[in-house]
Amino acid sequence: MLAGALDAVDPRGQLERLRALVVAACAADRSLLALFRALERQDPIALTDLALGPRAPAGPRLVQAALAVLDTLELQLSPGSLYRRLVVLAGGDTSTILDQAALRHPAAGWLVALSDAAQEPQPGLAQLRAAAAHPAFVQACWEHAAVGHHAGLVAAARATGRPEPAAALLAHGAVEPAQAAAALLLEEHPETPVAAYLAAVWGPDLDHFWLGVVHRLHSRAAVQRVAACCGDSPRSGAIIQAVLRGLRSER
Amino acid sequence: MGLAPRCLLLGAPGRYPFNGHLRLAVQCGSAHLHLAAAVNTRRDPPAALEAAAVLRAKLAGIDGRDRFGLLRSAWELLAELDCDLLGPDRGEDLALLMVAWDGQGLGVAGTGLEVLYELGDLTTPLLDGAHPLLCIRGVPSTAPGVFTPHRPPLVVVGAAASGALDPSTKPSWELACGLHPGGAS
Repeated sequence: MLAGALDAVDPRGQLERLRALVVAACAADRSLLALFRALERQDPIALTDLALGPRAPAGPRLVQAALAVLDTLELQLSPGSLYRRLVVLAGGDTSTILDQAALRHPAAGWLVALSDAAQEPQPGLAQLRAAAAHPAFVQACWEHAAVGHHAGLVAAARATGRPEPAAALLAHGAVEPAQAAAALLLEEHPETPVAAYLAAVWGPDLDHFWLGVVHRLHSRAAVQRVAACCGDSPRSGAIIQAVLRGLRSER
Repeated sequence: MGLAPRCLLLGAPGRYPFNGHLRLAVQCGSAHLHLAAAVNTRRDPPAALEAAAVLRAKLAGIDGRDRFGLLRSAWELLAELDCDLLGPDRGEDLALLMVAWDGQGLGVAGTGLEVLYELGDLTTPLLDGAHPLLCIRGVPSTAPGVFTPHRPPLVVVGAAASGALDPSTKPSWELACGLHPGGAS
């Protein structure tokens, strides 16, 4: 049966037998893929019980097989509940679950809580990467910023090259993370119009903000981009010139 | 006059409350002018910032010997501005508040404003209702009049017509106007 030969089996009638098989396979670190694929065709309800039910055995083998039949499982259970359950069952590495959830539902609000539940190293990054070209990207940035997913937003700015993660951070008062995100954009994505988005959330006088960015930069080109963002205050000009002199003497 | 008077514009509700906002201070001898404006606010932030920069550069040329001269200069510069440079809306959404002062007093002028407050006082607006200073957004075809408050306020706050934040929903009036501790005025 583990190889998927279920022709003579009534899955719901022999659910306990199948459950014992699943538990034994997990304990022996054997693949459940063939069994789950056969159940997917024959009895999706039994599959859902075995894969996600309260007596499903936790572990990577079960999660790996469940991820292979997501199309069917999502028809049986709401996606938010499904992925939360998979995270619980995974125990350790949840990155594949988060990636799959984000790829399949990039606009879902429940991904914000899921990234915490899955203890994503940079919470929010999986969703924001997956949603980078989706209309819900901006909303997702604001939702992650609202719950303090600063590291994920900084990483998302770098990974996507989009200005909204930095803007969302600043809009929620996370000034230093916003400066870190802006610095990464200036260094690695010079075409990104980050200054416009930051001014739109913060207000027109950003010199103080930019002076906190300039010390994070490593290239003269990026510092010169900050100079273009700053106003014409003598203090800003003097600080930027000092940083440029420092970079000139170092390189 | 002790501390310099100035003006601020309340942000708009939404994700990008200060889209297209700008502020500018001009000094000509003993006459000063401070302005706050918002333009091209319905467009995306890069387009709004570009329009704000065009407007700021134009108004940086304000010149005059007294407060009336400074305000007149501002309107003249606006009248000669090529509105196509302000984006596809051609400045139709312009909100502008100016405070000019000299040794003789203070004058307030603007366009696209609904209410004027003194910073921190929501209950007794400096100006609301049918005063001719308060009008729809856009570059005015003729120079609006000048409002001279009985008691000159230190900071005049403008609420743009059809869409301004309620300052009581923010931790402070300054934040509602996009002014932050440590930032420039």
